[in-house]
Amino acid sequence: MTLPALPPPVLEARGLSKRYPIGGRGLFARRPVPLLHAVDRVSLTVGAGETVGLVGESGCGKTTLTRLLARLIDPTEGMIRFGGEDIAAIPAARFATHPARASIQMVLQDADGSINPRFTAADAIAAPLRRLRRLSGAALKDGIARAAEACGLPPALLSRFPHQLSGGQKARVGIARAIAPLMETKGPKLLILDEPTSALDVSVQVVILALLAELKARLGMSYLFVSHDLNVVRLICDRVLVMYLGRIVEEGPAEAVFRAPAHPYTRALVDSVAVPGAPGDGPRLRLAGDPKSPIDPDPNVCRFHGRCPRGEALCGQAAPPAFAPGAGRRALCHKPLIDALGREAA
Amino acid sequence: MSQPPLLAIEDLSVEFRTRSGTVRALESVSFAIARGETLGVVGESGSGKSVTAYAVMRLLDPAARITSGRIVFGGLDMLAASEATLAEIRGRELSMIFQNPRAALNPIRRVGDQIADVLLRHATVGSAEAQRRAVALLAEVGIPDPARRARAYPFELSGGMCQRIGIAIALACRPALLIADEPTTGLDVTTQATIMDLVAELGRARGMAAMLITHDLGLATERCDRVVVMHAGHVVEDAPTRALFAAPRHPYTARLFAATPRPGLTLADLSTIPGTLPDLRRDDLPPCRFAARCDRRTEACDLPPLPRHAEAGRVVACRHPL
Amino acid sequence: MSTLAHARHVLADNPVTGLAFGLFGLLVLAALAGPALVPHDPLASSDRALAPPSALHWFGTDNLGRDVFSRVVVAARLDLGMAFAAVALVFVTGTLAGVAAGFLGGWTDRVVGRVTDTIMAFPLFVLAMGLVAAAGNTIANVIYATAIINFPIYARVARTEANIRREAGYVEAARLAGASTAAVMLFEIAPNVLPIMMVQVSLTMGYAILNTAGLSFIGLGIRPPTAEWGIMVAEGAGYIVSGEWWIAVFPGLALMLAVFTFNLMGDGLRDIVDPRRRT
Repeated sequence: MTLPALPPPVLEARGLSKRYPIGGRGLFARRPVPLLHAVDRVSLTVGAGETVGLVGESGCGKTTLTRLLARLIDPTEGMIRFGGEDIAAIPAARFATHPARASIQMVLQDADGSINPRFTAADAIAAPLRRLRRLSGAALKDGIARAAEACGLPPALLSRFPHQLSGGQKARVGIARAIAPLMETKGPKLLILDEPTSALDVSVQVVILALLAELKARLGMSYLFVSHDLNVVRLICDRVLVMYLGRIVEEGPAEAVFRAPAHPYTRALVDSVAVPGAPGDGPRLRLAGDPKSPIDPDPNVCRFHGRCPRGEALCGQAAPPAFAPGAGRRALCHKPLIDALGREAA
Repeated sequence: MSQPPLLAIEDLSVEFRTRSGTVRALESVSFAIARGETLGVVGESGSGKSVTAYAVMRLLDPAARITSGRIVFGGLDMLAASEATLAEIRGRELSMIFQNPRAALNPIRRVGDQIADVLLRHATVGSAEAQRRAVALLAEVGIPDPARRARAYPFELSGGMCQRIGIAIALACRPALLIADEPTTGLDVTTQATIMDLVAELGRARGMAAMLITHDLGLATERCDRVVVMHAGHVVEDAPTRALFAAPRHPYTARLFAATPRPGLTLADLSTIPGTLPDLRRDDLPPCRFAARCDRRTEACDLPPLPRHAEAGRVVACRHPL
Repeated sequence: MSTLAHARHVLADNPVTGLAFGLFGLLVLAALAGPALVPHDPLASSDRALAPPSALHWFGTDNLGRDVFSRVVVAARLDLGMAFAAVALVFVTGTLAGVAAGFLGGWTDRVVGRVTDTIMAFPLFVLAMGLVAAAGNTIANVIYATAIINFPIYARVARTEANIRREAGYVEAARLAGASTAAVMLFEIAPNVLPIMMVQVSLTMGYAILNTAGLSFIGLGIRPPTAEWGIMVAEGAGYIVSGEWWIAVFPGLALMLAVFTFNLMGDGLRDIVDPRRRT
């Protein structure tokens, strides 16, 4: 008996890195030029119909990673497989006119700043339809109306400017704009959401999250959901990736990772989150200090060493190996918190 | 209750004159903070929580008018006090930390000098002593290498460090009450936790009271002894933290919880709050500003005055509490 | 709210702006219809030379018996026209160069930077004099010279504004929607820079008028007997000592009024153009 084949992943990234040279170039620059490792050999997959969460502190590289996957910037090295081809090989400037542009879209953080203050909501939604779908006239109006209606935006709001819209309304415009070109696409569709609800009140957040869930099912999309709010990530994500200083230090099914983290950093993140209505009990892991510098990091040392409460000599001498604390899980640690059978380790 | 409260707000109403009308931002707001108590003020945007804080500090926008009520801080009538008296109190007995730590610091001055400013203003010390104390305060708020960091400018420091500086400035003269307006919103979760730990620890050591304004119910749960819930300029509920979260009595509080993601719940378990905030510029606002969105509403809810049930150390502003 | 309704709201809200627009209207009227409306022929000399202001000659007559009032009104066309042409030219070139420099950075920024630095190394009026003297004493050259000396201000302001907006969310959104770099600069950045440039346009009109008048005053640009405020001030300057003040003072007042009007208009224009001011 053969098992039914799983649908191929919507997006697959291997060995993705982005390094920025810093310090002066020219005659008096130091040789070699120091490099800032914003994203360091990241590999990930987003399955069909999956919502993958991406969490990490500011400066961990998640913003850079999303821009790489959305092909707004070019990687220093690595491969991104989407729709059967390696889209990392296409320069960002040329990707604007590539057919896959209409299949990978992004909802940006800060809906306010992401809508041109001189555009109305209708203009903002029209832009991708005009350029990526070549719509104009009645077909364009139609496309705008459909995207707005799918996002619960009343037609009266379409002629307003961003400063005349509430936070929730701006969030809807940001989503409508991102899904508008995706609505008619056949084939894989990836929507990257960068903190779409962080500026919203909880009551509005529920509505937007429900809207996103409905759209995902209706349009057959997959999501990469970036957020610092672990409660939200736990709520809606199937899998989660935990990022630290440019590397993915832990990944796995969201509920399993949050309930029993393997990596000490994940544990610290989970412990930092106050649960509404239930005062915490049990020991809390707290992180002291700031992350190490991402400039020319030592490849033979664990990036978290020095800040990790479980650190020992080995952590400062060798890069941590990949470890599987359970099915579908992975952590980069010398001394993970749980062992291969999911039990608490020493 | 043996001691009088440190801060007592009674029946406070505040209006803002704007181009498009008068906004009735606060109406009949009353609550109190005892010495050493941490009070959480929670609510969504437009609830009036920040306005309340600025009213207490007497730092409201010039377009604001306090139309009724009293604010009594440590026995002093804040609304009747002169600007000179208030300037004495601010920074010394009563201080504040803000949402955006970087914006609260002067970008062109060294952080050590900014802390020394408060000391020079309120304590009778010379500038050398003020600098020395500033460095000591930096150490107290957990900044490594404080003597060197005192000479740094805000842009050289991370957000978490800037918030620590803000705390150092606020706590320099050992105030009796610290108002924290969304102090963790701009920070990473791990930094949020350490900052709040710091505030709690310093507060405990000095017997300091705190008013923590936040939209984050988790933060309120963890850090506050009592919580006041605000909606559209009204206090809708006032109760000890555990009691509030275990059994909310105001329909809005219950709805707020029901919309908040928590471990163990799925998206389908959450519900939203129907309707929107009323337009606070209207003349005909009903006595209960939540009634239009409430499924327990009856005709009695439209009759003034704003209801206020007080029992067993809790206050609920509802005719039909849960 | 339509642009017109918004414009009316802005003008009603701020009476000073309203006044400025009113004066502007008056100046434009003088420029367009002046020659047809004036009581006397501005070039016709008469034998009533050096007559003080009277009912017949509101601003008096000059040394050749020409009516000063008619000449002042008719001169508006030339002064405003040249200033407008210069400002239009520098607005387009300066804004485009500045936006490109601020958005693209790199070599574009360096080249534009060096050009503006070179221009600003000179006292601007002296540079204008030099350019007109070297290139030839024509109206076109006066316009080009005026445009050139105002280029740095536009380029710098546009560059700073473009630089601030380079990382804005809506720039990323535009790229996600398939916009090329040129499209982003022209359709996303430039429209946001426009309100700030509007204030600049208004101020520059004032400088441009003064520049034109100043060049004529020293003999470059417009030559007599054409009626132009600068020439008139130059011609009348010699007569002030002997008591015939009206020949220089009225053109001078006209210049002052024009510059004043444009300065006041700056804020009003920005309020109308900037959608954030719409409630």
